Amino acid sequence: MPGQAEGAGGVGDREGRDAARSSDIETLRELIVGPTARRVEQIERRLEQPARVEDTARVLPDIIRESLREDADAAEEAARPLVEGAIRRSARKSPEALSDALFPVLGPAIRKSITHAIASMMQSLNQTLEHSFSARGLKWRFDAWRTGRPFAEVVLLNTLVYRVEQAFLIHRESGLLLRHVAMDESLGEDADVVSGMLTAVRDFARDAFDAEGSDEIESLRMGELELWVARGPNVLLALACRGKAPEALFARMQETVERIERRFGEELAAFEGDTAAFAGADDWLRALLESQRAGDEGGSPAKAVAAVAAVALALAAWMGYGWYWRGQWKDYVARVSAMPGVVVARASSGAPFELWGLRDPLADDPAGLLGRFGLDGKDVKLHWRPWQSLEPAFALRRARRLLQPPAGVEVTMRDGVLRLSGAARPDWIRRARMLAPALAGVRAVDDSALKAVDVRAELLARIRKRLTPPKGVELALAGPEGRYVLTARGEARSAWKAAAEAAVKAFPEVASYDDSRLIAVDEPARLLRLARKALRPPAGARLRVSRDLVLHVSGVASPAWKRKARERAAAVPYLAGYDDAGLHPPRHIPGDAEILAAAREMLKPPATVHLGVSQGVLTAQGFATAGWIRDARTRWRDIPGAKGWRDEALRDITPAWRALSRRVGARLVRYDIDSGQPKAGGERMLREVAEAVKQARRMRPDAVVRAVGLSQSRAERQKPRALAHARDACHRLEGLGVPAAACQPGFAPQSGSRRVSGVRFALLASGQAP
Amino acid sequence: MIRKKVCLLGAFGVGKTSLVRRFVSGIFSDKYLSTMGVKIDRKTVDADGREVGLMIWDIHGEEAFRKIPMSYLRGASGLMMVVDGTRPETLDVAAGIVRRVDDELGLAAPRVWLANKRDLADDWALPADAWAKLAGDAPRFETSALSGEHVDEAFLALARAMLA
Repeated sequence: MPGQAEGAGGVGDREGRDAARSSDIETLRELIVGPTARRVEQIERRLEQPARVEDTARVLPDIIRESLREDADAAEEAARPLVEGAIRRSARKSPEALSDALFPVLGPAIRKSITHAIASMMQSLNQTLEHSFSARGLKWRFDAWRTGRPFAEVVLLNTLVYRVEQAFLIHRESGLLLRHVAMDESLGEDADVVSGMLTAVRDFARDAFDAEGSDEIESLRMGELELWVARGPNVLLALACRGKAPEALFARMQETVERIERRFGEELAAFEGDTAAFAGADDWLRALLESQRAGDEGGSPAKAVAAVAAVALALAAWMGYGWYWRGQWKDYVARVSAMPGVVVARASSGAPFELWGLRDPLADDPAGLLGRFGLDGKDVKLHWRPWQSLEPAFALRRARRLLQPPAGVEVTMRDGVLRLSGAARPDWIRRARMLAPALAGVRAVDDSALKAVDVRAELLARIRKRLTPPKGVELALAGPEGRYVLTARGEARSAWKAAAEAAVKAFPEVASYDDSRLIAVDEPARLLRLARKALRPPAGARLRVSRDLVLHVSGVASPAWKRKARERAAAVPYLAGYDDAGLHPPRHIPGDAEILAAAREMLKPPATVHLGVSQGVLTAQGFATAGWIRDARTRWRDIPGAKGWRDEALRDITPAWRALSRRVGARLVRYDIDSGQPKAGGERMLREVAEAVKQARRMRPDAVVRAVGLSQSRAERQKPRALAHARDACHRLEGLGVPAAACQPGFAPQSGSRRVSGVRFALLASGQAP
Repeated sequence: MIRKKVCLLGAFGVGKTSLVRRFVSGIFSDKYLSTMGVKIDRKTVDADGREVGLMIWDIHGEEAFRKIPMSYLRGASGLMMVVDGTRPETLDVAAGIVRRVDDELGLAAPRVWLANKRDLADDWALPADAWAKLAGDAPRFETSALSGEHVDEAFLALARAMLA
């Protein structure tokens, strides 16, 4: 085509033609390859531009996912160098960032790993110790040497007695059992319920103890059976072990968990309850079921351990014991060294405990302190040499011991000066003045405050204190020292006199006691003397004072003297009682006059009765009450000398009196309240009363009438009116011939429904109650 | 075999434990309920030819001072909500539990609703509207743990719902 175009025209044309042709060609080319070229161009541009990154990013996850699906191992292998390199570079470049990122994972992992490592170590150490001393232990040592394995491992292999009986693979979130393998297949029946409950227990424990983050139950122990739990992000692996499984088992569990998480990650993520997908884990789980048996049970290694422990313990105890007692001894020696008056020269440091030193005899005995330190006198020897301590305290103690100061003397010490103060007997003072300056540790003696006591006055004071003489007794001490005469004079009871005589004997200084002028005031003889003087008994009376100080009067005396004697005896001091039961009146035949007088005195006849006597026979005439007559008829026999009683001429006034009394009592003089005067008929009533009273007074001159004004109520204000009425009645009776003295106005409140205003009357003998 | 975790929820004393006892014969004593707040039993049901192992978590009834621990509900494939047909107030408690389950766990597991104690016909006081509203589209049953009425059906319905 270009050849065609060139051969067709000249230069100008050619140029035009060329241009036209090229345009055609362009068009043609455009038609033929245009879209492709643009696409290529687009692709080129895209390849050059960074935009391709977006495209790659879009497909990269698919690529990785696809390659993992097709051949996971190859893909992982391919990615490994990249990941490793990146991590390595990151670790080199900014280790902080990486460690920060990994810390939440690594921290707990490291902590847990260390804990388990320590636990493992302790376990193997314990076993090593247990078995080092047995014959079997020696055999294991040989095995270790022969096989080139560490001894601890040999021990571990030979001794652990445990059995992993079941393994549970549990879906962590739901607690559903994924797989279960057991040594004894019959155990699997309730495995799914157990796994659920285990999950619940873990949740419960976590909630109950508010555990943080990753802290969860790792083991549960039920007696022989122990449940170990290892966990991954999605699964829990629980092993039921009988016996004591080694800690290393836990590490293997953890490995298994990790392996399962890796292998079944996808299935776990999509878990919908179908457990068949995890059948592939059964072999791994079964590998965990294992048992380990100890060799035949020989002699217990515990015995060897116990023996060694016992020896060690005994050694420690013995050492501790010795150490303890040395400490006690050391404390004791230090304490003794600090004691005043004691100087410790030397002491042994341990058993046998001995001590040498100086001790003032006045110092406390250091042996007394042994008990306080738990030491026994038998285990300890104390060697003392006597000496005298010049310390002031000891000088003072020595002075006191030598001088024996009596009560009242104070001995003190200051700057080597012994000071004596107080009061003492002259002979003690003399002795103290001689002895005190010679005492060791005493530089000078000051006795300026020491006073000599008056021996006689002091003795008398002591006697007084002892005898406590009553008021009226005077004690006196006379005579030269050593031959004192004690005199008591005055008056005292005989009891005191006897007690004083006995008490004086307690004073050897008193050579003799004179109480001849001490009057025993209550001596019977003295009292009798006094009584005689006071009573002046008539010739027939006898007086006697008994030991119990009762004055007995007996014999014959007039009743008048008897009365007086009783009064007079009361005035005699110290008499404890008076007895005149044995005193009788003189035998005497009374004359008529005497009889009459006695009769009058004894019978007290009323004025209306006239008494007479003739030859000892009493006669009574006149008026008397029945009661008086009855009395007189018996009582006349008591009248000394009376021989008979005649009362025919005596009239019994009682019936008449009663009639009059009734008559008077039946009268009621009504009063008008307004006028204060008797109402109609009152005058007649009053006349009748007056007549009755006058008649009564003829029988009994002491008869009186009581006019009782009746008040309307108990109220106090009613009283004056009632009394006024009564007075008015009396006044009117006087007008009718009743003496004013024979009418007693009074008043009384009324009770009952019928109340009147008026005066009632009552006839009384004088002295008789109304 | 398919295994599913099922939780029984409801107020205290609505009869959850009796329902479970009616449905299964368990190995754990009921004392776990009062101590740990949960007791687990298993029952295998045949749902349309498919065997389903139900792990039934009987969770202690909700009380004023004892809330249901939400951790027990994790991983549950089905919830059985139980109310007491004689005590309308237990509907409120159940509603409260459902609210907490939704808020705290966002658990979209199938549910069935049981109004228990149907045998106490005289005391029956289930408010129909509230009951229907509470259950929504979920299957509802009026059950009696005493007579066993509708108990198996309820568990079967839940098994079916979980497999769907």
